[in-house]
Amino acid sequence: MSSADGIAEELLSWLAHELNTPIAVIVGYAELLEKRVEEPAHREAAVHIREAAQRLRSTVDRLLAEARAK
Amino acid sequence: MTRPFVLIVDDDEVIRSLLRLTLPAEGYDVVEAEDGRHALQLVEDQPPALVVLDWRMPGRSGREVLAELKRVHPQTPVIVLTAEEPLRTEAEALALGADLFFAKPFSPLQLLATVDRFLSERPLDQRP
Repeated sequence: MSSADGIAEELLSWLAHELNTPIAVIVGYAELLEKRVEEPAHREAAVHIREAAQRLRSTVDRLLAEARAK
Repeated sequence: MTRPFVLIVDDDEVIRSLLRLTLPAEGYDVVEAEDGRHALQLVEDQPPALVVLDWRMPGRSGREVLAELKRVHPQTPVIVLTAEEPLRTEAEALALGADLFFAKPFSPLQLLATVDRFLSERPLDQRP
């Protein structure tokens, strides 16, 4: 791996960490709410939050994979 | 001998809070460390029942903490969390002795089930 490749990889690792950590917070709290709240409307809201965050995570994964491939 | 404890090591306060809410602390204490140096201080006198360890942290990284933990307490289960590219990190963590690996975002309920499983596999006199 060249020095430039190493710097690019480190940058992508940092970016993955900075993007995935807040997504983990959203997904995690939404899942706990989904399982622990009793009000159906609140539970449904938690499901929507979790599913939207998981879509965002998929997008981040795709973007990072494309960046690594280049 | 103090109560058994599960050690959470993550520099992100909100992730620590999420893990604290996830783990019920029934029969064990949940102890937090915001960096690797603090984590290693906490395990000097007593091995934790289990460690949940973030991989990327400022100062002493998860990699360094895992290596030192497994050197001094090889029987302590360590679950590694990472938000980085999982495949490469997982291989390195497992080679250093990590017992399990979760990529962020992770399911708190799956993590809880895993922690319960590890703790139930401890010898009877060491179970929380």
